Amino acid sequence: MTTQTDGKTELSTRLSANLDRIKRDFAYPSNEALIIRNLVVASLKCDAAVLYLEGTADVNEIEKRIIEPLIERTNTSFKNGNPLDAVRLEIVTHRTGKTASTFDAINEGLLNGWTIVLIEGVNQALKFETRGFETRQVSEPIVEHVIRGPKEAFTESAAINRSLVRKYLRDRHLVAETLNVGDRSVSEVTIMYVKDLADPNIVDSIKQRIRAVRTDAVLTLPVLEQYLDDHPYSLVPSSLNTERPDRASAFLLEGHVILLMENSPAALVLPITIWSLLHSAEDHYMRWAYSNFMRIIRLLALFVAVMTPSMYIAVATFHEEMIPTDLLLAIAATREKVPFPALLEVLLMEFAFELVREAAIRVPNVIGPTIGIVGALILGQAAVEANIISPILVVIVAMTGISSFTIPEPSLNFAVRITRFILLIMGAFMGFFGIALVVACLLAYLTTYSSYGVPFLSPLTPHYRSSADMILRMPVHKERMRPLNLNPQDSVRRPERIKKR
Amino acid sequence: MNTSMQEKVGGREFTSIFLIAVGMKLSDITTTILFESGQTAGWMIPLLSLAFMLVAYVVLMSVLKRRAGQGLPEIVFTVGGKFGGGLICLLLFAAALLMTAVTSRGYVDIINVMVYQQSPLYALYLMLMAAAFYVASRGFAAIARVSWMLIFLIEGAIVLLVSIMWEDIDWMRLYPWAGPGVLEIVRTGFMHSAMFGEIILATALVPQVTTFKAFRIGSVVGFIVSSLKISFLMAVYLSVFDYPEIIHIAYPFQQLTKNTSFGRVFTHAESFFIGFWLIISVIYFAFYIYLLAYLFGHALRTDRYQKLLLPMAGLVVFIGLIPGNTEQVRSYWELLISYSTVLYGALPFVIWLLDWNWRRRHAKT
Repeated sequence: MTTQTDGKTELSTRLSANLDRIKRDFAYPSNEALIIRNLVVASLKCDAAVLYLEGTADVNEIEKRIIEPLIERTNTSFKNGNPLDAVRLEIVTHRTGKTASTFDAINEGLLNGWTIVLIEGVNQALKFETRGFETRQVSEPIVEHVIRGPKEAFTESAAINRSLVRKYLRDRHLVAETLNVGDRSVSEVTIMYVKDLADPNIVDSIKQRIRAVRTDAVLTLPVLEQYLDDHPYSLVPSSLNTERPDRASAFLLEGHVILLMENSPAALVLPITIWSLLHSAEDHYMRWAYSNFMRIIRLLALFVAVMTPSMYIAVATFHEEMIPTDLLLAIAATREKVPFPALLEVLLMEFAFELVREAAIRVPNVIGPTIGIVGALILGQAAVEANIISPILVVIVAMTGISSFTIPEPSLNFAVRITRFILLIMGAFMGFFGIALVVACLLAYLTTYSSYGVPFLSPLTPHYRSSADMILRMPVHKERMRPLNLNPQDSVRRPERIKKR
Repeated sequence: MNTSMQEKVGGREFTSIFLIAVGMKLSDITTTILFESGQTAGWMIPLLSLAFMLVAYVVLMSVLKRRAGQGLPEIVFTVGGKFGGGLICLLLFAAALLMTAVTSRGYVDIINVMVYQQSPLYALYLMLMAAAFYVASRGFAAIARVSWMLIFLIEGAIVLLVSIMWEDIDWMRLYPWAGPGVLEIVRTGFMHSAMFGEIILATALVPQVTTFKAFRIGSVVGFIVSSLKISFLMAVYLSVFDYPEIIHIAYPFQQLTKNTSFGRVFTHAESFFIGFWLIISVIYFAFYIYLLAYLFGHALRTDRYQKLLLPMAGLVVFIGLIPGNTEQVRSYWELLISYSTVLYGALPFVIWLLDWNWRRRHAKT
């Protein structure tokens, strides 16, 4: 166990004392994870011990690169007189090699998959990076599908994730800093940004927030996200999860900061604006017209997802004159048999839809299809035939549901679904008047909401210079500016286009 | 409160807030009252009023320009001393408060009469003001940013409204173009120039805008475009409804939207326009509540004017509920406009003189 108080002690020169101390720290005899291999360094003629934690280290690497050279190397003339340096520089063939002089450093190393070599008569230890945690292979993204574009996703290994980002963004200014969080189980958080693009104030403030997290353990990125959040009660998310390294790299190039953590198959992008949430990974892989078409569809879907049920209620209760007469009569004819008020009907149906959605996520894959059958058949057709709801409502709730699936970002999806209920209640209460009041308040809230100091609706409002990559986007060659709301150090992406011919 | 809430407002946002704050008059009781005294020439009155108000504005700007970065309250306290400054601030506050109360009552009357006949007036009033208070409590930046977001939609909606109604317009109804006579029109225009009183009140907000240039351009563009818009829309009302019918229509804008339709299928599009109009009303009154709190806070010489927003919203509702019916609202409005015309017209000259006096005194020492 690494506690801050007793871990700071220095090593002694006696090997057995050092081993005892480490054994005590890891509760050795009962904890079988600590592996201690005693040996004699043949060339130095002195006792040594190799230590690692089972499951964290790569055993083959330890055997081949550390234990084998230590035992087999018999040449006794060394350039370095210090046995520690002799082992590190002349005997062991492992690619890494650092010295550690406190038990704290040793224990942290062991927990992170490093191998420790202790030598008799030396009050320092050697550590070699032999990480061998089990990870899965890089696979396809599950949430952020694209038709065009790379199909790699982050995995649970931070090292693989960092390498994926580097693969896309080969920039020597791409910085990866590591900070530790958690007092009991220490986790590494990698903060990545492009040094000559990202606003140093934003980077510093994020680093400060991470350092300020005081808790026993932060195991994954989504938990860290909540610790860093300025507005924990807000419906609006202030950071974005992406599982796509290409997307993370695109954000880095705009001057955003990304966070990576071991065990989290995603990158956390900070700060964000509403546009980052609305855009999909694919928007820039499609040609100008196609991607704008998709964006218009998605924007309309957003409006439908937020407004339709409340509009329906408002129109049906307060503003019937808006519906074309024939349709009004048709609706009235079907509503005639339904005993409930329109609001209750909508709430019932929306509730049923949310049930299906939640059940579909929780249910084991094997019985997944049943949910679809039960949902579609019973909640749709049978409910209408039983006169619990009117057919128009099935159409409206289905429209709303499908529209909300087009929102690419899960957090925004939740925000939209909850907002829909607020609007629904107000629409039922006061019609368009109620909806208008809520919309005005929502807009006022969104315009002054900020994610890590960046206004949420910028660069639209407050206005900043940018490439206008907001609701629509321009052709790639015209996107010359980085959005200035992130205060990038270099605002120009590419020089003026050189006229061809 | 985080930093983004206290950020200053840029030129675009500022221009939009004035396009809304002034332009909203095209949709309220102002237009009907102007038709009563201006008859077929009613649509000229906004232009004349603006011309008169611009004179006062130019005088005031000459003082503001000399004291860059200072708003009206700061200036009157410097040149008028503690007592004079406080008095002027309170006078402006009182004028703005009564005007806001009467105007907002007018809006609630419209909502009550045109859409929600069965809802109690005070409930509608409370809800409107609660929303306006919330928007105002998010800061001036919120008001201005929402305005900038919506401004193109609003102007687009007005263009759409006019183009839908285009075939009902008979421009011949504008004749006789001089209405009750040129002299009468000029007199009415002068007497009603306080309807652009915002042009004076707005100068209080100079420190909230990024640059003085942005303020100057924003206010000038805002006022001129809005008065042209009001004038044009009034001409449209007149040529759709004709005189004297127009003076019997209480709310020409809402009446105009009632006549709209999108093709043969959607025969009633008014709720679409009314919905828009309601969102903007919230922003409009949020702006006024903010302005009231700002003025009163400065009259009391406190920086914590944000705390005054709620009392201001409450005060507006209480005063606004006093008039018994729409007719009384109108007569109060007329009365207020004549008194505040004197205030807004004379104030810039008074400030200019005080400033001149201040400079003379300080030049000596």
